[in-house]
Amino acid sequence: MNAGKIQAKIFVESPAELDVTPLVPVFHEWIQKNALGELLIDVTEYGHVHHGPSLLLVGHESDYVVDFAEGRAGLVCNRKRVTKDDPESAVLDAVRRVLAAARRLEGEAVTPPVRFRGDELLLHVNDRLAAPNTRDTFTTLAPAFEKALKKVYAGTAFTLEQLGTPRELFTVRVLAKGAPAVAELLARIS
Amino acid sequence: MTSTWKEKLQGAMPPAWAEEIDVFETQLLLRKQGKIEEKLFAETRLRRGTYGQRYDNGQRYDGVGTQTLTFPSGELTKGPMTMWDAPGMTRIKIPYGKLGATQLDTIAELAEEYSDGILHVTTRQDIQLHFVHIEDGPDLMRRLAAVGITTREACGNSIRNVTACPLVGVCSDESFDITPYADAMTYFLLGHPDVQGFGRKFKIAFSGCKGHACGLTNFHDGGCIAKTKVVDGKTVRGFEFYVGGGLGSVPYPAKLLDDFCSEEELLPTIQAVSRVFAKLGEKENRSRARIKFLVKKIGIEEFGRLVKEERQNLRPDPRWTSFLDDLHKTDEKPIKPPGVLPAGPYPEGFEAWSRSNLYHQKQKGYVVATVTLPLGDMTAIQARALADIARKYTGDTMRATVDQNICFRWLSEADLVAFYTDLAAMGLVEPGAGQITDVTACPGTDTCKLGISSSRGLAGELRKQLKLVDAATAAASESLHVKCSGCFNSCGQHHVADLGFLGVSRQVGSRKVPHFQVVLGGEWENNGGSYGLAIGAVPSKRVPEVVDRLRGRYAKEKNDGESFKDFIGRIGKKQVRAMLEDLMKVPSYEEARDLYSDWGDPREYNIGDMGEGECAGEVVAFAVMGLAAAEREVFEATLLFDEGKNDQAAERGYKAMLTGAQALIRDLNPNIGDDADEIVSEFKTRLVEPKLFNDPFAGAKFAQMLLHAHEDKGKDRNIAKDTAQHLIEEAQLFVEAAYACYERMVQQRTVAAE
Repeated sequence: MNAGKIQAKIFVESPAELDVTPLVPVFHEWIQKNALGELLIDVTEYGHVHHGPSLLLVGHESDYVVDFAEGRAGLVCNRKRVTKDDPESAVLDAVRRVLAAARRLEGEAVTPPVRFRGDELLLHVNDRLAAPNTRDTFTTLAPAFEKALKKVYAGTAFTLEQLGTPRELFTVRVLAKGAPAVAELLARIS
Repeated sequence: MTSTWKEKLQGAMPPAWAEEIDVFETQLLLRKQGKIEEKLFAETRLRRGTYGQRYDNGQRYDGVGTQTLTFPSGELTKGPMTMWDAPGMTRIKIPYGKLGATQLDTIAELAEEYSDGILHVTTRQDIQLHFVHIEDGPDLMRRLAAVGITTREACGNSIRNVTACPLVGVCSDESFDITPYADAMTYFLLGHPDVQGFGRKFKIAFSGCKGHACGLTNFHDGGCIAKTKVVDGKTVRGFEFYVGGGLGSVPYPAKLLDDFCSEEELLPTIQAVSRVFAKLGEKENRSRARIKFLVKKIGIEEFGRLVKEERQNLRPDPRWTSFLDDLHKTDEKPIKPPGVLPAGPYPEGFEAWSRSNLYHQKQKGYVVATVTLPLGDMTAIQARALADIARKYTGDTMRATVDQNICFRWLSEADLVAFYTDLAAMGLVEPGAGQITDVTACPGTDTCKLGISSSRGLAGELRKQLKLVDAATAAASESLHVKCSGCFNSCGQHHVADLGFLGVSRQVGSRKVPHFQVVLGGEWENNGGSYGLAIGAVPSKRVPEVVDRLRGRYAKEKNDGESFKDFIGRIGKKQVRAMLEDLMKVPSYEEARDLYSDWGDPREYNIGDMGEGECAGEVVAFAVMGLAAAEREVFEATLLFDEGKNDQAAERGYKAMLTGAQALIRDLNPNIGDDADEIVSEFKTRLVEPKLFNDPFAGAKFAQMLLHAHEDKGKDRNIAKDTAQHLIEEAQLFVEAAYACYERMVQQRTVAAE
């Protein structure tokens, strides 16, 4: 199954405190400094929409999004132009990128500081043709997802749960109670 | 499992549309192989609704310097100066704004999979997706085609989306429901051979009545207003048929071509109009190629004669009248019986929302409910929720509006509270639809490659600030329309707003400062009945203060029932300008750094590679003084115009252009005198011929304005009102172009010095 277009979302520790405004210049600076090691193009704000992709760092291969979908604040890496068909490496790649961006954001001098939780990930396959949001898809993809996530969570137990309706993107919630901080997760797969 | 959308949707798409998309896919392949020339490919993709976007030339100013965006496809382009891999915009035509639930679901899917998760409703009832890669185009189009939507001719030199008043069919003032006519015209013209040879785009609007804003026919290339008359005791339907309106850089009111075009003659008439436009419209000079210039050049009488002549030559087409056999084909059927609003108590905010966002249909027991979309945006998740809400309460009756909102028709009043509650769960119950807080804006510098200032950033800020206005004066000004355009092309429709803003830039010292021209007194009613005029430019960051002062004064001092346009006319533009004069002065960078960046963008505004040489600084002051004088003269021209002194107004507008040209020439030739012939001659030699005055996108368009005005000088006395207004608009644009030219001159000088 071609499941290269993975979206990985990591959630912030204190959603009520998250202020997008100071992150705008940070994203601009990331473009200036080529901070993520991939082609970044522009920054777009959608703070006016309810529970939306509030701030976008638009790239060629990936977009990075400060996202409030369903009222849950987090950072998304959306791998949109990728060649990796193998779901295991695609998941690992997307998770590594979102963790790296989250780690970098944690290191930025913004007030209030942004911190992310390591114990939950939301994964989507942004391709309804390749991966419709069905039980069959979950059955097919879950082993590859698990394989990738074992590298991320190492000894920490985690669960996968398919969410949403067939109209939505294929969605899997990953819960890993007691998982370490972003920096450590990232170190494991970098 | 199917491996491609083409395979999966086989049989679901109209065969002709499926074939067109296959052809487009092949063209992509050929372009990648270098077998299609880039200009041809650019027009091809535009006609498929696939547009360029900011930075698609592979260059981006990042606040420090201009960086090259190195895309993986290297030098491969999808048009002149347009990199293949650069994100683009896809415009989805929604004929007369009508949307079904399944269609909205599909567009939401596309927004998620190919765009940035946002659906943007435009001022012409289209939906745009941004940051789309060109290679995703064919599948995106297939998925739309499978739900009856095409992007064909959404861009390019052809017939754009046919728009219409969103209340048609349920409005108590309309002559009749124009939906079947707009529908017939849409599909009659789509891909029609007679609309393929235009030099520029052609926009059509329908309106059910004349008095309200409705379809805004007054500023469309073609406009049809429903009308009936009694013939032999029988009521027959027809249209007032207008041509030659348009906003753009110089707004033109449409001219009446036919006082009563019968329903049988509607399609042949537009076909004949198309032929005349294709034959006689300008092809070489894009800036004079809209039909408004042709109508102005030959006059509406001659244009009408040519249309009649062409009409006689048309080969009869059964489609001209076949749609008349079933005018109910487009009727909407409510899925719920009519009802009455249940007794309260109501949810929080319901009453305020009901006051501004509901329209009581002529069909008793039903309302039209408007969902306010901030800046025309909704998320894919919200769009799916709206589709569900439509299924639950109204059926496929949604319409995108020219205010960049979505309305639901045929909502039973009995369901209002439940409907509101469902919307509230999605954060979509903002009141004030179509009112002062519902500021509209084109994409501006956010994504448009022509944008000069951040119209969306400004609109977003105005929305925030206007919501904080004190309750005492808020009600008195709530009906005002505020509209922002990022450049002179007027996609934000600022000309017809009470308070309109047009993005421009100004050189201050060695830096540029984002500004907006303040355009006051346009008329939204009467189908966009008249256009406002600029009174001066203020830095972007000070526009909210402009709005606050003008709105506040209007709220306090307006007479009973006095429109903003009349209020401005009563107090006079001179006094209005005096109210804003302090805001127009720009302090130095050191004193007010904030003014040197635009809304929502921390980068220093477009200073590019410019240096800060003292020598340049002195010259700046001299030239800028001349340009400021030119700007003042344009303003004086508007004052004369307001006093009905058309000849003097036109003369002053012409003089403003001369002053602007002289200011630039003086920078190159200090000996330039005041003689008009000398100035124009020098202007040609020093600025036009070396193409220094050329706008990067509009070319020599603005230079021609002075050259034409100079040629026409003294020819015409008793100048008509609209001619005077055009000349003032042109003078305004010329002065803006002079400022831009001056910025380029400074830049060149700095580079040379280095």
